[in-house]
Amino acid sequence: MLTQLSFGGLNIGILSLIFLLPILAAFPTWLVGCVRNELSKWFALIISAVVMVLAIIALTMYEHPPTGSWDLLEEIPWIEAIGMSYSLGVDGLSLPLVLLSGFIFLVAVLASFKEVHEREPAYYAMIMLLETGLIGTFLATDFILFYVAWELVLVPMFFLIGIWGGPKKEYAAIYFFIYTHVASLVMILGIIGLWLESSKYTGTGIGTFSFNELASMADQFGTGPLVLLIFLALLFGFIVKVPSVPFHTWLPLAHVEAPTPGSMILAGLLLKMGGYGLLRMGGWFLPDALSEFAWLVAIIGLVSLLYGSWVALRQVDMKSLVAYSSVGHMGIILLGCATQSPEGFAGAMYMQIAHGIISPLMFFVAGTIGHAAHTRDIPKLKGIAKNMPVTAGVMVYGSFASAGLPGLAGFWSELLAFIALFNWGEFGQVLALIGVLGIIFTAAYYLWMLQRTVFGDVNPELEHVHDVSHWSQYAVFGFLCFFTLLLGILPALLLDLMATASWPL
Amino acid sequence: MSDFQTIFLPFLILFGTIIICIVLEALDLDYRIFAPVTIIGGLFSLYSVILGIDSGITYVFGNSTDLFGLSGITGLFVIDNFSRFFAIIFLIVLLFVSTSSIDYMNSERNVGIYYILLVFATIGMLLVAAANDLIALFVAWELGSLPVYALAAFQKTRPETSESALKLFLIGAMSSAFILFGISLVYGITCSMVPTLSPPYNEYSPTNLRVVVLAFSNVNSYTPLHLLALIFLVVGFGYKMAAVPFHAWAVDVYQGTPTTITTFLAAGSKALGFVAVFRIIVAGLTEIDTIWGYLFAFLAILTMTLGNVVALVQENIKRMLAYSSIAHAGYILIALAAVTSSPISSVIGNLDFSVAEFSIAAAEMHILTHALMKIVAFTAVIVIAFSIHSEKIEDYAGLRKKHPWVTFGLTIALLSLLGIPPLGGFVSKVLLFFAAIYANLIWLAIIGIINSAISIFYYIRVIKLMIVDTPIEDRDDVTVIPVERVTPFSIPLSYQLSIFISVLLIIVIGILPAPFLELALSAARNILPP
Repeated sequence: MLTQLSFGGLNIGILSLIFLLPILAAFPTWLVGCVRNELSKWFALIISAVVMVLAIIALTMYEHPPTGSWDLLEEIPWIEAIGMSYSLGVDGLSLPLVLLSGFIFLVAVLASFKEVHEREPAYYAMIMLLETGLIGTFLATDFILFYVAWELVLVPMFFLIGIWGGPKKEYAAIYFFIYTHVASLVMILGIIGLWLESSKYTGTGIGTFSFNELASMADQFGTGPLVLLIFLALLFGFIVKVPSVPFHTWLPLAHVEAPTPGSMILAGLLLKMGGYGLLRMGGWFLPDALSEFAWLVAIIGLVSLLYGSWVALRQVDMKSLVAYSSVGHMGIILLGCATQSPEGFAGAMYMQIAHGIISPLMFFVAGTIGHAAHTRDIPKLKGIAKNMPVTAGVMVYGSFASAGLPGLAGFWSELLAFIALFNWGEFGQVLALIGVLGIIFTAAYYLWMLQRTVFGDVNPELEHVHDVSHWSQYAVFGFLCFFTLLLGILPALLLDLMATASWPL
Repeated sequence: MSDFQTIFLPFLILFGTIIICIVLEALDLDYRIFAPVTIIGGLFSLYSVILGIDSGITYVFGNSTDLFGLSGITGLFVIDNFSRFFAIIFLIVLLFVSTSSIDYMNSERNVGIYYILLVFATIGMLLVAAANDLIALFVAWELGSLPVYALAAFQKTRPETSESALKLFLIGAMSSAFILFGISLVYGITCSMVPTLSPPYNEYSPTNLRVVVLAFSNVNSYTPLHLLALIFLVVGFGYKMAAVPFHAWAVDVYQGTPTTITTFLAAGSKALGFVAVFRIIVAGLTEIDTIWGYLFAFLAILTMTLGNVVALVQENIKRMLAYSSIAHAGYILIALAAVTSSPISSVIGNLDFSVAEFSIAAAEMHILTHALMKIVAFTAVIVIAFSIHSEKIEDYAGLRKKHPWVTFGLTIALLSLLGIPPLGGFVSKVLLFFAAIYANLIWLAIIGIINSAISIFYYIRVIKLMIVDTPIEDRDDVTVIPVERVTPFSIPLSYQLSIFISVLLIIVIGILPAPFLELALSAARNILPP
């Protein structure tokens, strides 16, 4: 099995390359930016394109390992004293997310071309740092490395919001940092707890952080009080990142204040870290604990879906509306996960990817409108279809995709998740019926927003606005719309890739 | 290299440095020559220490007939990996402090004496780490402390300096008195015990550390005298560590002394207390009841919680860093609790070290990373104080515009203090928490993590002010801008160098901790009774 790329005599694992290339490129990005300002964006574009290509190469090398095992595995001991190693690997659960990360970063760098003009070298260096953190979270097969990458995301995002953000950026940045870092600390308590619990079964007397070994003990963990506590600690860490009601308050704030590419990464990838953690934990390490707390996860998911969609109805800022729609959509991931059925997991996974493509599209639309019209307030944006036909068209398309129109990516995930929910236990049908309300709200707020913004007479203040004109903007629209459609028409592309992912069958 | 060289060379080089400085002072040469001489001497000394790593354990000054007798366990000093590990830390501190002193001290008189005192203090600290006898330890302790009192008072023109120097001196003298009294009580205990011991111990001096450890290793033979002696020793060393409740002096002193000396205190002197505790107390207490474990755990909780909570409301950056330093002493105390509450023989799983070894190694790692982080932080504070003439945290707003690189360095140091991976502070903190877990003190690890959560607020506040906030000169609502804010200030190379190198070290330790941990573990093995 080919897992390495050769450069002369030097063999480097493809996953290490994907993981480390962006962080190694961060400093050169800044450096070339100091020579000439616009060089940094081209450099960042090239690096993110290379990472994307490497991710595709990894996809071609990927050999669909059977459930519960990894492909392209790399393992180097790091701190042996606490049994922690640098180990990377992909499986059906993480590979799609790695591809998505490469793709969204490429798109986000493109989206920055017309959005960011201030302190560009530092900005693109931060984006590169962020890419390593995000990809590392999905690639890590060691819990401490997972945590390292998880935390690595925090610092560049803090600066992206804090330096390049909107009017209340200071507050939003610090709120984001403290909220998510405290959640991470709770999560590391859970990680350490899992390590302690695993020390009972390793036979060596010390625990393990390795995903592989933890997964092999999944049956033995059972549902003791300590295991349930560990589950709750990890769950808390994950649902803050997802984010779910009532821990969602950082998200709308961060989204509204972040620069548009930052919002795209935030919605497209950062939230997926929480969903990934949840699916990984629920499917691999603590399936029994998840069954025990499935009701809790389902209720949190349902409340997020209903509350997110309900609150989205009355948002004025367009970014804020999309942010709350994210809260709602991520609720569906929790619902799918709670059912613990193949359909539910597939639906949740599909939602991860679909939402990861559609929400950046919506944020880019909101950002473009905000950039052109100098406002994102829905009541003020009347009849933008006249002056911004392309953007308005994409907005209609994205809204329908997000609302789950058949034929577009969002549809399959909702379908699968709700099929799973419908077949789940005695209350499943009740939950599904309540959940459908959330889907109706989703359609309602999108349609209402479209009615108020796209159609109708033009607001006289907006006579002067211009549509997108730069090639980078067309590229962003094109890429995102294309994949939304592709995954809507050919869901098998993604479902096949995920087929051997390890959900409990 | 022969034994003699590996053992004495680091000390001899430092003494040579002192002699050269004295001669140069007498010749009345340019004041700028002292710093390079000290730095070169420190570098050679550091190099010779590193060369000696893993060259075994040697006891020196064993008996009166053969002064340099390199055999026999009764020596006054012992050169082992433990002493080398701390020698490396202290020499690193010396190097960075003298580098940043180049510009900090250039307006002072008698700069030669400043560097001579620095080197003297460093020699004392190296000797404390190598002491194998209570008397030798006390003498070395004083050698490591007395020059610092003088250094703290070095800037005679600043009134607050004199105040804090006096405070440092009084507290230092008092803690020395505590230690001396504790030593005399120990002597009383061991003197009557030595003749009753089995050979070869009955030949030993009553103040030899091995004898002391023996005297304290059986909890059933404890008398009130034993407890009293230990309490006096812990209190005396606790002052140096600035552990709560012996911390009150630290904050005022850190704020008032010249900032280079604050670096020396926070990064170097603080470690001295831990070194002595490792040598004397921890090694002796591992065999006995867990009551000492609870005592240290209690001290740890008190120290880190108070440090973190009080740091939240500080307005002066040096006071904030002082409280953060107290909090970090609390984290290190976690390791002491772990050592003293687990039997020395308890081995972790199939790993080749015991809980006590791992805990001491974790503490050593944290002392190392803490020293580096504090070096960066205080050096940055020096630079910024020169630039904006303020040590108030709120004046740090928008500093990135003025000094992007210093801001970057300080940000890395603060993030590392906060424990953000993959920086050095994260690794050593994780090791400390794992020391607690290995010793079955899971609740202590949880309290440590809660404390990390508290500490986010004050570290991130500084980072946010520096990087995110608008500088005062760009704000619309401010009409009067202090003139310092707009006058350009170019940062001298010396500060840039020390910040850059220590930031690099923080990152390297964070990414590749294995070799450092290996050394720390072998150091820990050296001090624990076999």
